[in-house]
Amino acid sequence: MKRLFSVEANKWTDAALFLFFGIFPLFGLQFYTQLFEKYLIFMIFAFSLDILWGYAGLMDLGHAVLFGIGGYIMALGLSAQGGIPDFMARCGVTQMPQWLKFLCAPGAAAALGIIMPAIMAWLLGKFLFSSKVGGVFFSVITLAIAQVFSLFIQSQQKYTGGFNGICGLPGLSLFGAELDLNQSYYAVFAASALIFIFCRALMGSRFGLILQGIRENEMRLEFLGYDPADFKAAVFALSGAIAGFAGVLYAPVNGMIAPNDVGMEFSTAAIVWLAVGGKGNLTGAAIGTMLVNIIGNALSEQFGPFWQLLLGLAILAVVFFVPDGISGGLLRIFEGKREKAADGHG
Amino acid sequence: MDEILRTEGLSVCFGGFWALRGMDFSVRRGELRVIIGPNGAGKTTLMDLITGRTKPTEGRIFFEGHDITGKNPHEISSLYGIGRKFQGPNLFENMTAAENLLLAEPAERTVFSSLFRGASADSLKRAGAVLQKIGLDGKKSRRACELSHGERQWLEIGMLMMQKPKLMILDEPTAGMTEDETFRTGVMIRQLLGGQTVIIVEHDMKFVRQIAEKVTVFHMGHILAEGPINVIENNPEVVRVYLKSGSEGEEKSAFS
Repeated sequence: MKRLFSVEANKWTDAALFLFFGIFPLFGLQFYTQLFEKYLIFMIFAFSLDILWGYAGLMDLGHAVLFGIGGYIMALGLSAQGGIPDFMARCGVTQMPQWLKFLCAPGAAAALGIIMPAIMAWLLGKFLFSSKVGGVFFSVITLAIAQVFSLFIQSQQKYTGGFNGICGLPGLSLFGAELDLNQSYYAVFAASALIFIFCRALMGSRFGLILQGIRENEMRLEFLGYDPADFKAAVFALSGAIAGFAGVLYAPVNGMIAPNDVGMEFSTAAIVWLAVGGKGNLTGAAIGTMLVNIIGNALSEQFGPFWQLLLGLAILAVVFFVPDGISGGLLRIFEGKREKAADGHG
Repeated sequence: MDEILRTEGLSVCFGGFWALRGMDFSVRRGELRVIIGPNGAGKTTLMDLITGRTKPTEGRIFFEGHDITGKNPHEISSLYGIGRKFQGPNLFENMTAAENLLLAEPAERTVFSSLFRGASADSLKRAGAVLQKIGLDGKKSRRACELSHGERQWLEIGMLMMQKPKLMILDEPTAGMTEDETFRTGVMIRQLLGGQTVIIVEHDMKFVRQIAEKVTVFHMGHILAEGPINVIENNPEVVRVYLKSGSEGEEKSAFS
């Protein structure tokens, strides 16, 4: 009865990843530290998609919208630190809008950047799931929303910087002091580790078990006395909050945010990370995010314009040969061994 | 007579076809009722109506005096305590046998009560006991999709044992089973009885003889006959519409 609520086979992979990211900055490779800091934020984003898609089976093809709402709220707050931001002034805004004054407090911007996407996801979820929209239709609707959202961001040049986005943002700061690269890296590392532990604990609880039940057989769950719509809206909201949090971190760490960070392209990138790493166990989200991004980065250095083609081929190969993704493949091997041992005992 | 379930003039129409016509059906508390009848007689339709899967066109359903007509499946299950085993196993395929049972446990079934809640020692103990009863204690960490057909049927019966509903509905629990498995299922269902009311839809007459007390025969959307099994088996009307072609019915049930 031991392996009911946890996936033990991934314990060692988790520990290895933790150790790797924990000691990486000590090697003093500044460029890669900066890169990995960004990937750690992507990982948070991937976790938020994994609890939604991997556990509850809801394939959100516009997940970057939630990331983007958090990111843009934070970016607006940060850009207004020294009065009216340049991009607004260029569009003829002479007076600071009230809401922007409120966002000037980074704490307030960060909080709103987490709460807003959660509320929007919850409302959308309530509406869709109580009218029994699910499966492919959910994916198509979210995909459309992603496209609309990125067009909306581009059209509101006055407030979003339009196509160019909002750039020149100050880095991550804590208690008023801006952090240097290593400090910033460790702050992000701690954040992603905490989110990972939070998600793991939540998915290991009865709530996570029920989400998997929804993924496996929603109708059966209803006849056991659960209201799946409630659970789906809840996990969508939670996933929105975490995605928003990733966006909140991304704006200062990346120094800028632009429409292509929030639309279809980034949404599908996260889908690919999960497909490669394996979904429904969180470890796969971490592996997939790192692997796809690192390989993508290496390929773009080596092969110039062809890198996306090569990455695409590599992804196809993984999805074709290991349909459960890398972590799923590992898990199957471990499970097989344990079952043989268990059956041996009778 | 303490009725737990009663339907009044229950009718349902699917695009011009009346699957049930003015059905007055009732079950006493603690009873084991078997429903038989040819394919298309409305047996599964009645089960769908009771558990809220289908909404009736006319008529009402009362459970313990409450009107449950047209309620949602999750309300009927959680508020009123009606549990169901589907025709052909209906499980959480990629989850282990133990996880399937724990989901059936009538514990925390709302979002906030389930957050960060682990399985209690008590529910783990109950799951262990149920696994033993359904003969799957050696396979608790197998995924449902890896079990044999008979084992999957038993796992779903085990889920009902975990759920402990006041009324248990079993739709063809022995479909596709070997004779030996069917007999073991009968023993299992006999164990279930004890304060619980059970309705079983079956085709396999040998199995019906093994477990039945009172039998209701459905035919073309209404009740043809009702009574003890030995009386029913000798009812000329029943023999004409159903038992004569009984062997054919059994064969069909194996594929359903």
